[in-house]
Amino acid sequence: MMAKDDGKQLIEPAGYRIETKTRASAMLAIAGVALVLIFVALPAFASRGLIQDLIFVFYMLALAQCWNLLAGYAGLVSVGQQAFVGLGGYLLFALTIGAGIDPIAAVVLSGLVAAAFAVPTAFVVFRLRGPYFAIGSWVVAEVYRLVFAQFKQLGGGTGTSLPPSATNGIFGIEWVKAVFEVRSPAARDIITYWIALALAAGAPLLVYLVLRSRHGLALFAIRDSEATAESSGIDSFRTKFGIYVLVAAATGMIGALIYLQKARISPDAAFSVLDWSAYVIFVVIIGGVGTIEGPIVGVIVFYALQRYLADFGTWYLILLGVLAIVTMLFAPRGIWGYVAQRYHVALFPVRRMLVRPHE
Amino acid sequence: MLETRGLTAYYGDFQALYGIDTVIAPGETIAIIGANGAGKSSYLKAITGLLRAGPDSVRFEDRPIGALGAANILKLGIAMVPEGRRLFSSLTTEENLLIGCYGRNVPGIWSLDSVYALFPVLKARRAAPSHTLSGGEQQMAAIGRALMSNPRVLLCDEISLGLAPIMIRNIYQAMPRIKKNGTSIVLVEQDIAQAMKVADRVYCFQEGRVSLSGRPAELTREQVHLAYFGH
Amino acid sequence: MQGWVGTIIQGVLLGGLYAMFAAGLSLIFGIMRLVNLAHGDLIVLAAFAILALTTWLGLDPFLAALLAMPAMFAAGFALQHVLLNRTLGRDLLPPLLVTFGLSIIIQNGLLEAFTADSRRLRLGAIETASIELGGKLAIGVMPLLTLVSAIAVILLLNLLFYRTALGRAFRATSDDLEIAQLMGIDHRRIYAIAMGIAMVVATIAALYLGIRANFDPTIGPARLIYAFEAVIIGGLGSLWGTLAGGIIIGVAQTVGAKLNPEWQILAGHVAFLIVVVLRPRGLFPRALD
Repeated sequence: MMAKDDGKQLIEPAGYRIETKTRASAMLAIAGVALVLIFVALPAFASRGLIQDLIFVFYMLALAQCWNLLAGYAGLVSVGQQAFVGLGGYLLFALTIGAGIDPIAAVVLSGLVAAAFAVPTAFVVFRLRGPYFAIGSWVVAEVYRLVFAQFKQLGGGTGTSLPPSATNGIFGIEWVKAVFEVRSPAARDIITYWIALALAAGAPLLVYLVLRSRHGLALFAIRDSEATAESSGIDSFRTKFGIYVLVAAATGMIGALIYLQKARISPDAAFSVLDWSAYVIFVVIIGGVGTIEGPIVGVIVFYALQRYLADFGTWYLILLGVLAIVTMLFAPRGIWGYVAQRYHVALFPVRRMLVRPHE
Repeated sequence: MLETRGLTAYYGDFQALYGIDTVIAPGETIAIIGANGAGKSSYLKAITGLLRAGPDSVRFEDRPIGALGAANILKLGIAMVPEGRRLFSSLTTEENLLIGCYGRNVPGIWSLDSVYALFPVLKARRAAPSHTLSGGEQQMAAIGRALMSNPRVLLCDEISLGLAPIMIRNIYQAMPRIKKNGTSIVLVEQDIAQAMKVADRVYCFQEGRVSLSGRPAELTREQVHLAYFGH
Repeated sequence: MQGWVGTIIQGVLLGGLYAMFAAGLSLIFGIMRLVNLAHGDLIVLAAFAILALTTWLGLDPFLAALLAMPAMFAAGFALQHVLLNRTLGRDLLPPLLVTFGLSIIIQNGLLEAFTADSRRLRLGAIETASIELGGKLAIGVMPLLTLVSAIAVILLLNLLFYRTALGRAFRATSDDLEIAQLMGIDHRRIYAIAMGIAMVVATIAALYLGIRANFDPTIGPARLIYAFEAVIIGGLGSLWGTLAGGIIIGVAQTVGAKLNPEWQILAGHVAFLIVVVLRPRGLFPRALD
């Protein structure tokens, strides 16, 4: 007999345990921590170009994890996440230029304010379901873009730049300049890099924690059958709403980071459906939607494509289009999905398994 | 004319049928009875191609049809009255009848006029959206829709489900007229009484297997009870 | 006062163009629940096809469009049969992603073939001709013709849907795919025919688009959004609803533009969102869904 879940402890019958760990995942957790530490130390011996490339990889990964949580797990297929990327970017500019706030704090604050914006936004888009929701989210992002283009203080339609004065005083910059023996611009890049790394490492971790929590279990239930989940007492609306706002906060922070690095913002760039939705969705699909490992694989593939083929302009984009189509038709679960199914591997195991006492 | 040999069927990993052997001769009326979950509907779905079956496990006029898709089965002259009627909700009564001969438009006894003669109430409601019809009217329309293709075999999946007894009697009164035109009828039913009254032969299914077959007159109540419930 | 009346009339006429963009989309979405993110780009593709015919064969745009229609029907049929039929199912992502990939391919393919230059379909004097309505009101002949054509197209489509056997098959397949198959309807062929028809409608839309304004390979997505807004406002399965939706967007845009030229597109989006909040299923949705 199962005792009631009061939110703290699930009391299982005689000796049975509910586990999500697998042997592979435990080993990989250790390897993962080691990897992150290596990345932290990287600026000591990596070129500035590599650091900048990695910033791109990190924020794309973070965005992909966020979209995957939203669409792959919560079933909210949004083509409008660029609304929060752009919002985060503009908030960063406003907070650092306008209010003189330290950029690192501004990144965090941008996330919180983005979450606040997400609340009324959710009330509008949640009126729609399925494909209507996708289109609606896109329209909302367009509204954000058009509204921000009206604000002359932030550069209007042509945008504005982030003056060095806003970021030269970033927290820790003197320490970095001394330790790594670099000048201000490079030091700023290094700090931006560490923020990006934090977001890139934090995003999969966040998704993993959400999925392992009660809310994650609710998401799986909703994904399998919403009606049944509701009759079991799950408030589908609140769960999805919570995920949407959480993802908006994360996306806002990532957007703030992106524009901290780019140092130049304009409405068309900040709210670009291609850069912040299409490419992100591409990354998730190629890697494997509905898995945490998928976006990691996807971003590596995407980076390689961008690095070596982006010069081909229109042909490169046509190739991406063809790849998206081919993947969806023949490998709908992406590269990781195929591997995971074939070899029964899970690096971030989120499936709950019932383990017998003597196993 | 229509026979199944060792028919097996699966819903994913779940096996619904474990080797069904049945024979339906031209002009015969067969009743398939059995408890819920015995596999009766699965049997019909396998014949009509909605459920995958081995190519040779269903044969029509000595040709294997097991692997054909639903659309092709109709073209051969096997029409189904699906469980729950399932009329097209945005079509009117008459349009539902007309769609019945879209896939197979052959000359025969059945046309709009003769279907309206069989079920006069449908004529009165011909222009009504089908979702406004009562349960009984919908059932008649579903049967009429299947008849419009002038089928050689008419498969009826639980046509008495959810209907009042008088409505069931009404509908079953139409059976002899359908039968008179040489159409074979397969009646899958939970209401044993009505089915046995009109059937030439009966098969009883139990947990995916044929547990009994024979003529209604030759079967005792105890035999049927045993075959139906398994004990 | 006249200013506002004129504005609203302009909005209604603009709505005719948007309804034309949306009609094909409404058809596809109504019958197969397919979200075709490449729809705008397919209209642009048709526009370039018409342009090519006018340039190579020296034809008048209307004639060129007539010639392009069968080709576009075949293209749509093939597209559905070969590619899009394989994406349909319960999942939302595959059709969205495949059509998005298609959108990118079409846009960039057109860029390679025709460059990013702005183009226009030339008709001569009739492009700017207008009809006096009394007072200071005048409406352009082309915008009026666009609205009239949109109404004609929708009338014809409704006739197809409600008076023909094919139309019954469309509606039945949309209602209940499994039972439609039982009725002997080959849904893959039905879908392919529907897509072919949608492409013919898109060709007509492309004709009026190209005459009215400049076009280039990248304007597809914006047209797609207006089309979708019209379809969603109108409600699933209602072509007249789509017309109403187009007109609402058109009027919202012209009214917004009158208040401030920079607010034109934003006003359309806001009107859409307001309708969505008040009537998520649209103004004239089908009875059951």
